[in-house]
Amino acid sequence: MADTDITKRSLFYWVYNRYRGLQVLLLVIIVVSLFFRVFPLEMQRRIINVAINLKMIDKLYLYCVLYMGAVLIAGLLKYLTNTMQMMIGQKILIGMRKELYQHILQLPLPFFHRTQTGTIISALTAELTAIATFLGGALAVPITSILTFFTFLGFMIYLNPLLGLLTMLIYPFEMAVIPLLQRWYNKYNRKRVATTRTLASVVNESVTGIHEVQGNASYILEQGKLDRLVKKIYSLMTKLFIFKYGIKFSNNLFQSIGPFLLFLIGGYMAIHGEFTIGALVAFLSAYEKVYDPWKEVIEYYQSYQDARVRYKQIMTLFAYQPEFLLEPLEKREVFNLKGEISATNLNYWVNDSVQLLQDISFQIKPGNHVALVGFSGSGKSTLSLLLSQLYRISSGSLKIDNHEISDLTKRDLARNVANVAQHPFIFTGTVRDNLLYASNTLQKDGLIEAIPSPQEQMEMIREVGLEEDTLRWGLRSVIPLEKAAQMRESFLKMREVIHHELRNEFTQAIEFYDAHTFLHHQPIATNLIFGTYGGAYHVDKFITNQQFRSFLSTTGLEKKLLDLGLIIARSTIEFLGDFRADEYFFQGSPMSQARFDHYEALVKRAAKIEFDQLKSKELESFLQLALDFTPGIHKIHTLNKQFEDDILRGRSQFLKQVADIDLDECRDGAIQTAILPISDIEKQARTTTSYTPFCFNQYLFNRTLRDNILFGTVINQELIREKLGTLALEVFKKHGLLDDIMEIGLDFHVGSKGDNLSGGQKQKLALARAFLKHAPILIMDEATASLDNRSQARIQNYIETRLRGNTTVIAVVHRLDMISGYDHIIVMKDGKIVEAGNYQNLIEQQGVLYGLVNDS
Amino acid sequence: MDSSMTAENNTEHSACRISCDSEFLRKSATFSGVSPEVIKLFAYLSSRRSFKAGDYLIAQGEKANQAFFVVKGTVEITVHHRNKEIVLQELEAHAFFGELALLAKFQWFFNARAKDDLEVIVIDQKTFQKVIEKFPESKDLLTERVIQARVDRLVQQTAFMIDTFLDPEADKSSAAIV
Repeated sequence: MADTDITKRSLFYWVYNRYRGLQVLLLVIIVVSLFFRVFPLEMQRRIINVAINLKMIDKLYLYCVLYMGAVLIAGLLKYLTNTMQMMIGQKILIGMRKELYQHILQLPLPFFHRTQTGTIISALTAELTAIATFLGGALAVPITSILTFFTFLGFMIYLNPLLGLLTMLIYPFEMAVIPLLQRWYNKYNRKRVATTRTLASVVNESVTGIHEVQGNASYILEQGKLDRLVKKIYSLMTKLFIFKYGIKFSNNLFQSIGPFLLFLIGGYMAIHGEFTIGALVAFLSAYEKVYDPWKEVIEYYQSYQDARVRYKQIMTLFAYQPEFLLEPLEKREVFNLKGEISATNLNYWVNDSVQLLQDISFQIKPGNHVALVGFSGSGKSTLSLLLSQLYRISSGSLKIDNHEISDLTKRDLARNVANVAQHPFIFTGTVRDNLLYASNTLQKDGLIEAIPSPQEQMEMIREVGLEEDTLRWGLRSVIPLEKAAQMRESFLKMREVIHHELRNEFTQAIEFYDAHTFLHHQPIATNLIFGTYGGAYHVDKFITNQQFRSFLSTTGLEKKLLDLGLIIARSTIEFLGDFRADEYFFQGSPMSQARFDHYEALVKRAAKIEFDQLKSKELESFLQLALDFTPGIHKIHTLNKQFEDDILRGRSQFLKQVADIDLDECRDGAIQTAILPISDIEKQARTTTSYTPFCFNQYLFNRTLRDNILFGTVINQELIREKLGTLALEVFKKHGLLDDIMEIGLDFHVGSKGDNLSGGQKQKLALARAFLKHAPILIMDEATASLDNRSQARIQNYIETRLRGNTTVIAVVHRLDMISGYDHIIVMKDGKIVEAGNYQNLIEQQGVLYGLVNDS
Repeated sequence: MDSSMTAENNTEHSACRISCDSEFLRKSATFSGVSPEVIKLFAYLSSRRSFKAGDYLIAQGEKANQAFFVVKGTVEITVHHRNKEIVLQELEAHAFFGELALLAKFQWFFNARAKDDLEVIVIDQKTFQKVIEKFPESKDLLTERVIQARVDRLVQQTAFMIDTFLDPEADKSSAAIV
């Protein structure tokens, strides 16, 4: 695929080598359309000279129909060619982007240290897109324009050779002036592209470092950085437009010289009878038409220059070579290495001046476990990075199984070496996506037959100590309908266990769904219907439900709620008036910041006129506030006992009248909803109007597993975390549900870059990901440093028992209490090996390691 | 300790909320002299939490981002040292602790554990910063108060430790007098 180095290709490489067939087809269509563009001009001449002059009505009809037909066809063909052009451009863009992205991913690490992420992103997105617009017509447009130009010119000369040639005289002038202006334009355009890129980098940096920015409230400082660039872009854009419109102006000027000559000379000739009126009209039309292709050529020239500038800047940015090959030059199978590693007189410099590693030699037998220890800055991490091909040695030799590491391909390394970094990267996606990241790649490349089975995945999760975390993720998920339907009996049993055994203990942490108690941590709407309604809570569902609304008005609750809504609106406006610009202050009110102005106007209106004179839409706004009001969260208002009792009475009525449920039976769990077949449940859950009451025997399909088990609202999460986890583990194990819940937990979404995970969870996940690869060599760069003692010991135990003898382990170790389990220890200082041997011997020698161990 | 203050009208709490919490905060040493507007905003943005004996409000090693006012009950401040949990101090109603979390980012270097049924008012870091942003003139005073609270605690704990060191049999109440 990569015939030449992507960054060395010219812009036209993409045009010549991609979608040739389509481009030829485009050209053919354009040539055909030319005929239909000249044809109407000839018709014009004939209409005047023949039909009108000779008063032949039938000829007039014929020519007019032919004229219209040709214009229509020409228009349609233009439509077609425009679309095709865009399509070809986009198709080329796909390939360009793909290949460039592949190229970038393989670039050596130093490139990424130098280059801002924002720059790479804007190069790959906006800048490439602009080029695509040009590419689509890169060949077809100039060829067509030139052909069209000469066709019309030919037609004009055919009408009158003298006039035709005269009007052409102006073009040479234009050809001298426009490129000159264009060169200036290009210069500023180059600067603009560069500045825009810097702007992207600045924004990217402050977004990435938003913690630091907000922590220091350095908004002004960051704004300052942006302001300078914005100003610069402004001044560049001004200059750009001066030249752009300068080009346009000179064009227009030259253009109007044409008709001037035409009327002067053509008029003179017509008066003297040397030129027919029909020919003059046709000539005038042709002259206007000649301008089109000329304009297109100019535009083409401009966009070519623009694209060229952008293209060159993109390609220079990425003009580096990957340091290692992905595939071998000569076809061979990917190596299956044993894991023997040796270094002889290895040196490594950075920037040809700083020597990080000096004269390193060692020999590691397959399956041996080696710890690299030493002072920070001693080069132990660098050594581990050289082993995984992330950097390249400067001199000497570093071999795996007698292959120089620099001769191995990336695929060889991917198959044979697993890596865990100190701060591993977690990709946006599910826990499982991350767990299988390495395995998925190997499987796609055909290097392993199948990805690890669910059992293996689960086992690994346990090995690294993520069992309880995974269970917790499972608890936080809304279980897919089908699964939930199968397991709900057990879930309900667990609900019972909690309510019997832990109810007292959890009273501070959970507000249980009790049929006879007002729920302070649920909105009033939920308090009324005492259940869930149509998926996630949203007040609009209640406002628009006729049944619910008529229930409110017949019970007289509506009036009370409207009053409540008005009070809340008033106090929010009064209390937050000065802080309306900051969303943070709205946490204690059901009013959203965005609606503040709306409510302010409404409250003013409500003060002027009688409440019941407000429009029903306006009343709904107040109703909405009241229904959304959640007393436990919204401090802006305090409900009195009376109101709570009214709501409770309303709840009882609602359940009886609307849902036909007796509140007491609901609470005691006497209402045993028949176990519906799954299809019925699906149907029920999919209809947006599905209503599930908070009855003790009811599984709430659209709530998380945790909500279902606790059957209440969590008020203080920290208090239940530990106990709930242990309890859930126990009960699920007993009912044989543990693996199922954990399976669900594995599909938990880790958030952007793993934001939903703690540092320890990320580290454990990265370890599991590397272990699952089952590579013969495992490299760990302080991979357990951020874990607590217990987890560290667990991982160490896994390495010492499960990987003993079958995996060569090279671990950069910071904590020396972990190293006694390693076969061999290499002690480094200032880029050199100062001591090596097994733990016992080194300690007995009382050398450097002895000193390190006793210091710590 | 002054026990007459601990009989806070918790039963009526649900009826007033912002005004009750403002009233409570206003009486604390930390907020004395601070403008009522600022106190009211703190009351609005703070939350009440309840704990049972043995529950941890603060766990050593976790990220610090909240400060607490004791409304009712007793809190024990402890540290883990050589695998033992050692009680440094007991705090009762109106005590203010965790104050440093309002000013700085760090990890808790002590635990706070409920000794009996406990009710607290919680103010988090972000709230503190947002309020100060809106009322910059209160910043110096509040910062000084937070540091003062820290100094007082340090003095008390040091005295307690010296007492324990000099006379290991002495009970905690003798330390509290200092």
